[in-house]
Amino acid sequence: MKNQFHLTDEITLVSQLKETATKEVAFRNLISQYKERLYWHIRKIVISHDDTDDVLQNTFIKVFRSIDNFKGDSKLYSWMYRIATNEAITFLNKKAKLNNVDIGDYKQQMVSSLKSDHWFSGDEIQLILQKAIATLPQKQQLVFNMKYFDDMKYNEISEILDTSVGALKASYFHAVKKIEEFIKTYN
Amino acid sequence: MNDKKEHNEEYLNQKLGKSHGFSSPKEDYFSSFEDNFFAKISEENLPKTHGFKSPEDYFDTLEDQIVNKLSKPKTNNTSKVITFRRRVLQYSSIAAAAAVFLFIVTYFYPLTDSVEDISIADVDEWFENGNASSDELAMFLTNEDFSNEELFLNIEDVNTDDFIDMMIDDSSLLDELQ
Repeated sequence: MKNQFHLTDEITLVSQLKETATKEVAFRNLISQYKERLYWHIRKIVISHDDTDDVLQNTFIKVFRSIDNFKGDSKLYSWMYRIATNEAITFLNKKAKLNNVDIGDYKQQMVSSLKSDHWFSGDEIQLILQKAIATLPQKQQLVFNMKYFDDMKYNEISEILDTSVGALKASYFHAVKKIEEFIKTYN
Repeated sequence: MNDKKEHNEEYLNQKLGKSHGFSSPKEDYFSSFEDNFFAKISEENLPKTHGFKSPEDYFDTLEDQIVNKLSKPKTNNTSKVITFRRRVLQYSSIAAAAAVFLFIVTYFYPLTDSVEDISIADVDEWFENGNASSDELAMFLTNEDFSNEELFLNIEDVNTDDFIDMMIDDSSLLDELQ
């Protein structure tokens, strides 16, 4: 992953985040470093900009409030990605429950309204790709997005999703295969 | 020359064997090679961008928005709206528990004091203590109750003089008699 903190910088940042006097400055630094990457990660899960904004802000608030619980067993960005992923999926589950539908159906509903979404500028093939992704099981969606669009390494994804590299590779392969079939049979 | 080469190869074989010393990075490299290869081929037909966009300047103000949210104190006095459905669900468990409790109590411990078990003396005492007015009694008694022979027999047993005296003590009756 590009532009992430070096280990020494990360250790310094974490200790600044835990210190009352330096907390706010360090936190602003952390937000500016990760806001875009986390935004796009969440956006591909929850689809709409407004929902992404809510989830992103909640993610940072959670990071801020639970930084004292961060033990440094994983990298800071993996920990934040994990929080963002959990927040986004919890959000989707809540929305699906409110609409009395399954999370998969809800995601497909969201994607089917992308054509009229002001904040979606994709062409026909990008729209079909999003529809294809929405048909995948949740875990395959995550793996596909993180590997295909974000170019993340399997060991990075493994740390975030707490899944073995082998299982991630299998997930990615199945995802790509299903997407290809979906696109071929579309229309 | 050839003899020398063969001699060198023999020497190397003896020293190193046929092993080159390299190893593949992961145990599953060869087992997942085909899958990875075909995934790569499929990827080439897919668009490399997702097509989503964010509002202009969105990221410029994000830090301030989040820090402002954090500086706001948590308010506990916000009133919650409880929907009718939720309220019904809240009480339904209590109602269900009460129904089960009543069933158990009435099934295993039936009321022993049936109407037949209550003595006349108990009723008298209850009536004399002012627990029921004559109007209340009139509500429950029908004409059939008064035509019961037993009732008339009991009345005959009563000392009628005392009864009349008691009734005459009532000033309202005296007024009427005058």
